[in-house]
Amino acid sequence: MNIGHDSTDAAKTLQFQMPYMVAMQSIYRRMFVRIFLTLPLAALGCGQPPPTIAPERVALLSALADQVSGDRAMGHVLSLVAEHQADTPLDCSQWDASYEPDCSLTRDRSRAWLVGRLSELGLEVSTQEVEDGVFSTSNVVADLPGTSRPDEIVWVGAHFDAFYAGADDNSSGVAALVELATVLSGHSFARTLRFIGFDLEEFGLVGSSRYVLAEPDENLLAGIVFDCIAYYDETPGSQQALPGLQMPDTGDFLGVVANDDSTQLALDVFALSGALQTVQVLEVVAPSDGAYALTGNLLRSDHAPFWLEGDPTLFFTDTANFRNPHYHTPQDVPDTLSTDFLEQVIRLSVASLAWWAEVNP
Amino acid sequence: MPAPPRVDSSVPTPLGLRTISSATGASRLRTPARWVGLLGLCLAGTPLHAASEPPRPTPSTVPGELTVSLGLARGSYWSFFRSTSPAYMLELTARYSPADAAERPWRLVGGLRAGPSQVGSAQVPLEIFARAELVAPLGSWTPGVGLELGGSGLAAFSEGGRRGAAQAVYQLEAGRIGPPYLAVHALPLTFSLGQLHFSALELQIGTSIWPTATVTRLTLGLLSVGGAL
Repeated sequence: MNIGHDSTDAAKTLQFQMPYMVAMQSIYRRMFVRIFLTLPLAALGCGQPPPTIAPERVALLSALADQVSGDRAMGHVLSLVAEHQADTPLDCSQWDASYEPDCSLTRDRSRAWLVGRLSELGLEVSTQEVEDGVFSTSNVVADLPGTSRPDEIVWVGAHFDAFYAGADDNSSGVAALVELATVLSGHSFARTLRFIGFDLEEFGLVGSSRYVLAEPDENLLAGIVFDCIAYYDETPGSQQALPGLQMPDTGDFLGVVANDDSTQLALDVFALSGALQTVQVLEVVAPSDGAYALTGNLLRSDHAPFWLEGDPTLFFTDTANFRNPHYHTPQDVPDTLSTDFLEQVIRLSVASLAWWAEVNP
Repeated sequence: MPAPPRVDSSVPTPLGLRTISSATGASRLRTPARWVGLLGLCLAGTPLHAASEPPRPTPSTVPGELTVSLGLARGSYWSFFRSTSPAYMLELTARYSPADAAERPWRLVGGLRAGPSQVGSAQVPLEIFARAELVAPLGSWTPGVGLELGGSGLAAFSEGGRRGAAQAVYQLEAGRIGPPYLAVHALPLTFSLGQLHFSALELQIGTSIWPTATVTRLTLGLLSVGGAL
């Protein structure tokens, strides 16, 4: 996202060696998925400027990304799964628990684990509480204040509640959140970097919706939501297409879901994935704010409330049940995940967030 | 470039409008009158030369047919988060058909649909609509397709949900659901038998107008029976 970078960047831009239209055609052909044929073309808009990142910035972002450790992140997944398995599920007798996984949902110990890790990194950690009986929520918010524009917030979030062991859904996302905080907290940024753990996503985006409603006036410039980001399968036929979309049949890419407001963020991520040689990304851009009856599958995680409020936000996912056969089952365990894929997703995220938040050299 | 022909302002046009000549010699209708004239032309479908011909009976002077029908329909609504369960609706429609259907193959329809109170959280479980239909009359079989504009109080989704936890996201959703809708309406099995009118399996698919497409509606008209007044 080109959000007010200094003129030095503008003067020394790297155009990725491709004229704009060629780049866009390449994007259309290879990576962007067309939603209902014409809508995404309108959504992307040919008036969008090409991604431009100064070469020295690319080097800096690459160096940051190289600090990511996949093994460390997978260690976080193991720790989180252990916390979920040791936790007591919510009392599902208090609602119509006709969906079988409902009675296995845990969150308290994983939230405590997340607070502990973020606090150890020296971040300003707080919680956002809403009392609502069994559906009370406690979002975790950790800030790394910006050095020159602290009111402008670049954020990343993941939900910490999970069914069963919840390795991919969503210990992978929370582990990535902590790994990002580990790497990025060692640096300073012009804008504030915020790390958010959302509560009760599985029960209807509860924590993230309450966050959005409680903080309507925050200046959220760019955000990423992780939900299921570590399942990888190159086997043909391992990937199912979302209804209405054409997709590859191999589950070897990261799905990046955007709407009109976050199209520029998606273009930046696409450019960075190429420049840093991270992971193959497949970007889906929903038209307008994405809130259409026919695009409901693109609103299935905590980015949706932010989309509805007009906050530029991307959704990173391995596409969950469209790829992972263990989705919402007791078999969603760490052994089924790919450490390398998780590492590459985090590398791309580090670079993207550092770019948007303007890492200080 | 040759100047446009001048038009004598004293000569009335067939619609009774007068023209004036501009300073450059171009002629045009006075602006308000022009729009009234164009609108009149569109509505009446009357050729300009018609007024200069002797008056004669035309099909347009023959009154059309007004039919009132009562029907049963079943419909559902989908937003980006939720859907309503299919619900039955009673439908009362008034339909105007020109007498010379072969020359003017269209119908104008207006009506009301009433749903049960258990359709979502509808405060006013009613729809009011107007529809213009193109008809292909084949004897007594008069299939058609139309465009319907209406306001619906039925696109209201249940507040509770299965777990009752997602009130916050439903609050965000509610700001994107409004009554106005636009729909395409197909009438494949519509028959006019003398004074009686029957229709079955009418299919309608539509969307909220504003915000656009946040709610999709699908309605199946099961049976409608009526008579000419």
